[in-house]
Amino acid sequence: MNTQQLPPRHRRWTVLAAALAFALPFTLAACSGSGGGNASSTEASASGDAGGSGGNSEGSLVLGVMGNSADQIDPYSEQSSMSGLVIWTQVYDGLTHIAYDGSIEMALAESMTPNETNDVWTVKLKDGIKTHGGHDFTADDVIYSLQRMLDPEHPYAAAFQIQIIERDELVKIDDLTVEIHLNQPYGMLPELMARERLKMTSQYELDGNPDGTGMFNVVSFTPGREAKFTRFDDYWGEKPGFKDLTVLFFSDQEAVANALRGGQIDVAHAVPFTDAKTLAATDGIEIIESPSASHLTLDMRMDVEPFSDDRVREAFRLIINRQLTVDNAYGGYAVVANDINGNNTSCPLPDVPQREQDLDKAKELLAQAGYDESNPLSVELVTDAFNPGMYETAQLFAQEAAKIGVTVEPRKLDAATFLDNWMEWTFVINWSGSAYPEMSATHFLPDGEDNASHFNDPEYTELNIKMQSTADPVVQCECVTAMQLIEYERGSVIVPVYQIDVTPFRDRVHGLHQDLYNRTSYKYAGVTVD
Amino acid sequence: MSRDDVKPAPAQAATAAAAGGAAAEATPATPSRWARSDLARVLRSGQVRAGLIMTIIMVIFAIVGPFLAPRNPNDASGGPGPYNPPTDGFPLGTDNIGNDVLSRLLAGGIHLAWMAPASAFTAVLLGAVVGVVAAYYGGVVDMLLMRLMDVLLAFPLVVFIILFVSMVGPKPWLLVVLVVIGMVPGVARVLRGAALPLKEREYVLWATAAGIPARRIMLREYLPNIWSPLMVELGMRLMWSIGALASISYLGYGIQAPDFDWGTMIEESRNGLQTQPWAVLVPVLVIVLFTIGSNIMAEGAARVVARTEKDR
Repeated sequence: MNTQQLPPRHRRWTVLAAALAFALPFTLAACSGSGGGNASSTEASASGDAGGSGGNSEGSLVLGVMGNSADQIDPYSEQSSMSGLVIWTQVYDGLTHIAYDGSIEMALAESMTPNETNDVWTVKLKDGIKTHGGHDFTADDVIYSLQRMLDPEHPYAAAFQIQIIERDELVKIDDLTVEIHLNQPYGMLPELMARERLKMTSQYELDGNPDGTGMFNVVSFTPGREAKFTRFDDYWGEKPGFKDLTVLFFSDQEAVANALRGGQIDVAHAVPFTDAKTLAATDGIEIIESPSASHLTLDMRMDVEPFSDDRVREAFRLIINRQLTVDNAYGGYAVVANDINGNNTSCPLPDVPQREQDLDKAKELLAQAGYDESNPLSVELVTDAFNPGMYETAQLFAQEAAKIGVTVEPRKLDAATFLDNWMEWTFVINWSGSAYPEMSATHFLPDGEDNASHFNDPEYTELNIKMQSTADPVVQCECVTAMQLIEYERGSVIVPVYQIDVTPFRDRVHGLHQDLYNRTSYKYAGVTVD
Repeated sequence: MSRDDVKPAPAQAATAAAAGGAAAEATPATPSRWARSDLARVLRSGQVRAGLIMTIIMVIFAIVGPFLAPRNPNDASGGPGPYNPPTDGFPLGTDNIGNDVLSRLLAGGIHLAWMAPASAFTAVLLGAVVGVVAAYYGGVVDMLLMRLMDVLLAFPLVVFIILFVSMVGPKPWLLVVLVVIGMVPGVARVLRGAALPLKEREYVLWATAAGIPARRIMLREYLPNIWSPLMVELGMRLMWSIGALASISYLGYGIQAPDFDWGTMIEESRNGLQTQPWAVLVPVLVIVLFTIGSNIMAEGAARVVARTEKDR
């Protein structure tokens, strides 16, 4: 996997982007797709709907999200950020997409069918899809989009994700059919193409003027300040029940929460967990809680001391108090996890006992490894705290470690300092925000750009390759479960909790959905406003 | 201005009464050298005393506090959870991860209690040396020292500290050194200004002519005569160093977890201000009291100095 072109921050956000797209691979029957559009998406999340229907079709909605001045409207920009994802989601679609429950559905594609060896895929597009510029969306647009993504002259953060695609072997069969040739067998192309950063654009886009197929047209965009959109009435899928969308960008989550309180925005993308309860108790504000596939991990770099010793890694997994982390770092907005990246796949988890805090055992293991009162262990736990709960988890871990004489110093660094030394920290808080196949490649393969623990297990790598090269969901699941077992038994990361995403919104908004990938605040199919 | 500032000092009053007596039966009481000293004048000020008492109380609070903490200030387990308002057993509630705010308040001042005075004293000491040496020698020495001070003054103190802490790491001794470096130029300029006129005084000219070593002249003739502005500077710098150190901790570049101080308490719990304001307001309050104490002290000293200069 080529990651050399990507600065660390981009790599991390790319993974986050992938989180929003690399969906559960195993619910798409044989990937040959009978289409299905997105009709099932609302059914999938019906239990989590914020309710409501009808509303004011000429109304407007204001979303608040953390943003930055480097964002671009071009989906193939070098910069990846959450605010960028919010924008691109409104303007562009992918060939496939991830439903609210994490399953993969066809989007612009009607079907994607592999050959017998999984190295040539035939993509059949839906007929009648219009772009914002009034053109038909065709095979030429798919080829144009993929070639732009893979343009070696054009720095694009997500290009490495589709390095398996042969740029010069994209073949137009007819206006609605494209043949994609791969440089290796790959059985999960529909899952791959659902990633949020792999959006399709039109060949008629000019000089940065967007021409997508998404549910909203761009009216104006000022990076770091605001973006204005208006509904695209020729949209091929389920449309929003309101006309105008404004996205306001803020510098931090507290500001987003305050804007919601003050009525400046209708929906908040993310707020601190500590604000969730007070917001929920505020008149006119409601909250949707979504189980999330995203979670932090505490990565122990296993190629250097002290974590090169298996006993030290096991001891650290026994130090953490998972329930305390749920209660005190996440304010209850999380569930206990078991050192397995497991909330991001529908495959069965390995049958292993829940790992509990055991300070005596941890102390014993550390003593066996040579760390005791006469040779106390001291490490830094580094984080940039870009997500709520990260620094708090580090603080709690330090307190628990101190009870057996281990000094853990939580260090909250600015993002630049943190990322400048990415992959070099001995003990670091990492972020897993993607579906299992993508996460396993980036976090646990030797060349993975997020493999901060420097995990290198030949058996795990072999299983990963096997999983990616097959299109058989049963085999894929067998691989996933086996890899998760390795994570649990001899892994290099602590997965203490799975967080619950919180989306607060004003009660004039109806129809928001629970979403496994934290898109509740900015996916507006069927959403209405009073 | 308080009335204490303007009424004659007891020793002066006694002297005046004795001198003004129609029949001076006894030899007029001569005020002691101490009573006539600038330091004594400063300490006789009610405002200075009030500020000093307030500062001393805060220092004692910070030093004794850790021994009075009812709970382990660094253990969130067993508590009512994060941002819990005051309840039984947690009279000031809990912070962002569920630590007892009262215990952290009591235990969180110890760093500031030594770092702020250490920074202020060291800065004033070094600033006095630079200022007096520059004033005494003048010429090239003066120019070089003052330009060096100008260069240091060009760096905003907090930015200067953040820059070095980012490079070296947040060590308490480093914070003290950086605060000192940041404050020395200001002190040096003030004390140089105070020391310059002394060069023309007869006793200095005499001492110089008599061949008394420069170091001795500076110690014996200059230092006692800049004692008043030096006291003012000490109070000012104490106040500034409290503010600087608390700010640095608030910004995350000061004392690091699992250790903590009042500045880090504010930073860690600021997100819960609306839920559990005590976790933020109480450390703010003690920093304010500490700062106000030293500020009152400095301002009182400045007033006494100004009045004394005027009298002279």
